[in-house]
Amino acid sequence: MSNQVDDAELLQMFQDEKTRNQAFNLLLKKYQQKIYWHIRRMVIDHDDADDLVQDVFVKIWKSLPGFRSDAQLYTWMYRIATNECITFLNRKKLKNNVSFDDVSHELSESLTDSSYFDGDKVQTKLQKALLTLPEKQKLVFNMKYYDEMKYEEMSEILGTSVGALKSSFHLAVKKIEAYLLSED
Amino acid sequence: MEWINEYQALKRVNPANPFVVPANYFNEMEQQVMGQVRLDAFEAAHSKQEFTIPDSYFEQLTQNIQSRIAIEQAEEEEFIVPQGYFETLEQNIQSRIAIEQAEEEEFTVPQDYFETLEQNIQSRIAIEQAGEEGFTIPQGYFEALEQSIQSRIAIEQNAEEEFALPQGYFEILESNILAKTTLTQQAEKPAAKKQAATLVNMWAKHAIKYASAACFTMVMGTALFLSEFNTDSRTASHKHSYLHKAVSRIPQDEIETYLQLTTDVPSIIDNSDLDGSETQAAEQIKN
Repeated sequence: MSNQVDDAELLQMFQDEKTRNQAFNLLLKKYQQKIYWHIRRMVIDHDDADDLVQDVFVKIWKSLPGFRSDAQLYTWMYRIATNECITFLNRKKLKNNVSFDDVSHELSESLTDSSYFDGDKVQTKLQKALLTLPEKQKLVFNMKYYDEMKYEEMSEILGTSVGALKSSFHLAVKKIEAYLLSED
Repeated sequence: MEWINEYQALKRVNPANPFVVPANYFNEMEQQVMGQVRLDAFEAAHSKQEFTIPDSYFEQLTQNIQSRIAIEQAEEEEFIVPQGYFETLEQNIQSRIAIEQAEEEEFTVPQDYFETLEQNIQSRIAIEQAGEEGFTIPQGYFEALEQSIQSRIAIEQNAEEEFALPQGYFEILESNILAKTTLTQQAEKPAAKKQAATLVNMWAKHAIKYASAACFTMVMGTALFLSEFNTDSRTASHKHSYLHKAVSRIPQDEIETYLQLTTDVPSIIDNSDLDGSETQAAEQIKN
């Protein structure tokens, strides 16, 4: 990660048509895994995450010329990824005509059946506990627990106040703790 | 991650990422994303150049489509038939015939119905005639009735025509008669003074009553006198009667013989005091 280019420099390179592809290639290397894992934890399945990651970066390529530098680049890309995840999950509910609980159950099954999950029993329980949370609480927990993101950054990504995010995180952790204890 | 110390169950979970990705996934993903980005950029760059449209194309598109539809409708208006019409025509006709035959078959009659129909009708007529025998009519009465009535009407019309009167005849009859009688006399005597006609009761005067009674008495008296004293005239008329002539031609002997045999002759002769001729005949019978 030491050879990663600063976001401001990436944006400057992107403005120049000669270095645009190079700038985007550097941006892709810098953020692809963060965006992927953010998406993967939300949709669980690798193939779904793969499709969404590609869609997100194509959108970033198209929208980057209009990006305003007053926001942070990575929070802007997280917002795009988050919106794509929520749109995907809502479309899945409508397509299968099932409720949130049914989608969570389906995702839980794909979690255990997937060959791309290598977690132990406790980690699996944690993921199942996360699937019981509302999407907003799940997002907040994932960004705090896995990405160690600050509330201010989360507020910029999700468009929610810091206080509301803290409240959502507190509720999410309590539910997860209760789930883990009850399952034990 | 100080907050995690408050949640012991969550603290026991391994914070490492449990999800894995296929080998060399992120390296390939970089190539895939860049390939897709280049493809989108290529399509965006060439789509604007290859697919151009004339100026005001979409403004005229609606009008052009409507004109085209109107032309095609006008061409199709000349005696068109639905697609595949003649291919299915024969089948449709046969189906229609089959349906109508099936409908006709629904009105069946019992076996030998028409063979016994005439006999049944005649039997029914005979039964009804037997019930109506109290008021029989001549055969063919009603067939000739109309003709009879018309003939009767024609005869009466002809009879009326023979004694037909001019219209309003009786209304002007009185005036015509007066014109030919009274008015004519008045015209012949123009100098005569017209007097008002008065009705006089003739029997109201005593002189007329007495005169009438005297005339009646005189007539009755004359009639009695003539009936009592006019015997000669009766005898004279008797001599010219058929009986007198026939008796005169009978011989006297035969009369006397007949009288002697059948009647009391003297009484007849004695009662005969009529006129001289009868007396002479009676004397001749006595002799």
